[in-house]
Amino acid sequence: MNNTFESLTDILRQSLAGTRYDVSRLEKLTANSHFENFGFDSLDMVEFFLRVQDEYSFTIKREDFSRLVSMGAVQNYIEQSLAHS
Amino acid sequence: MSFTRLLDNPELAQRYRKVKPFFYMKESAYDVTSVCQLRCDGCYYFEGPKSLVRDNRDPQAWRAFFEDEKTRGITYVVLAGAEPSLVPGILQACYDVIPFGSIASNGLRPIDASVRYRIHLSVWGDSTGDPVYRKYAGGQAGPDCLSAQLKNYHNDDRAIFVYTFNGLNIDQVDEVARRVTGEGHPLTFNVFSAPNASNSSLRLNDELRRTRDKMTEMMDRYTGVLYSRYNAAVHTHSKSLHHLFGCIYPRAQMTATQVQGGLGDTFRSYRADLTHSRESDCCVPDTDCADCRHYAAGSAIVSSQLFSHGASEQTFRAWLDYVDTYLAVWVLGYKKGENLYTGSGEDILPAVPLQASAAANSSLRVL
Repeated sequence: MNNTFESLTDILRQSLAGTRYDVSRLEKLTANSHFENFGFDSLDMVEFFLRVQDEYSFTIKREDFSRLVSMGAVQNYIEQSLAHS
Repeated sequence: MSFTRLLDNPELAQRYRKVKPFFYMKESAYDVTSVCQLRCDGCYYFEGPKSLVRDNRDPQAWRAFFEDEKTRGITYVVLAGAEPSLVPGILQACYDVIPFGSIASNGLRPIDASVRYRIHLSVWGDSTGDPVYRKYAGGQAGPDCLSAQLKNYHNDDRAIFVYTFNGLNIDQVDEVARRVTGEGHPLTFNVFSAPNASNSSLRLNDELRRTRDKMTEMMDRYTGVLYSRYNAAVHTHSKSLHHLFGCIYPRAQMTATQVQGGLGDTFRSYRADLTHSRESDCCVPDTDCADCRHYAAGSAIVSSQLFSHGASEQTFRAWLDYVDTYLAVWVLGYKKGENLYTGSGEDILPAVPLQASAAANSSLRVL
């Protein structure tokens, strides 16, 4: 689980590259931190989801975006999706 | 093809890196006055209740208001009306606080050079058509707006001319494109979208395909035209933006089955009395959503569709062109690159409309 959290955080960091976002804020990100408290732009989050799809070789359904509110939620979603694939 | 594989293509990666820094733009719209010299056929401003407010004409009040907007997180302003050039003190007050944005003007009165916003000059026809569509407020035939605009904005890098295609003026763009680009100004396109409950003869109806062909012809002929084939395909599709992609503006989200987030959380459309209501918070209030093909709406709606457009190289190329175009149109100093997508758009846009029940599960929905 920790490895996945670190992997996802790296992916998020890649998604924020080239933006004005202060990536040092990610040092405070935990599995339970809500993304909305970190001020990410919605399109940066889209890139994050696209990269997560690619990294874990599965498809995120658009209607599930609203559930992916934290890294923990994303981790669980990945595990559930892969378990059912 | 995976998104990360798409970015292995240097051409696509370079363009993505070019547009990505502008994702931070948080926009809202402000009608700064309800006064205009003209009453143009099909003008959405004088539809609905927004023009009936009592204007706040105090620049200091507007200055304090924009300070609050800045605190709220707004980084980009769209100033419109009626006619913003008639309230220069308010324009200056806004610019002093939030110096990033655009103004929509009829161009009959120049805006002070110190207000360094992108200035969108509305064009409704050529020298024969414009006076017909654009009458004075008292009903007399209107002026030759294009000549006045070209005179008032001669050598002014803020200006971009916005030609609105309607069902009656498709061929009039030839003269406009020649004159505007001939004087070194950029030209882009809008498509008439009927106000609510309007039976306007300006609707395009059966002329959408011919409009698209004319847009393409102008792009091929004049390098000063800021547009792309995907822009043309999207804005002349038989279905409106709302039916193609959904709509992320708060007004549309009031009836959406899912809360969208993004622009839907922050965008507001303020009236000239500094009030707003979520029910009318969209870029062009009082437009019939079923007919909406506004260039302003598309700028947000299509640009927010990275997830669906990131699924293949062709759709990603088209999306990059669209965003590159939108930034050149709305951001002063942004230079549009060569178009990356050369298709017609018919291969990547849905041939049949999304049904309401399927739309929520479609990949062509907004984030």
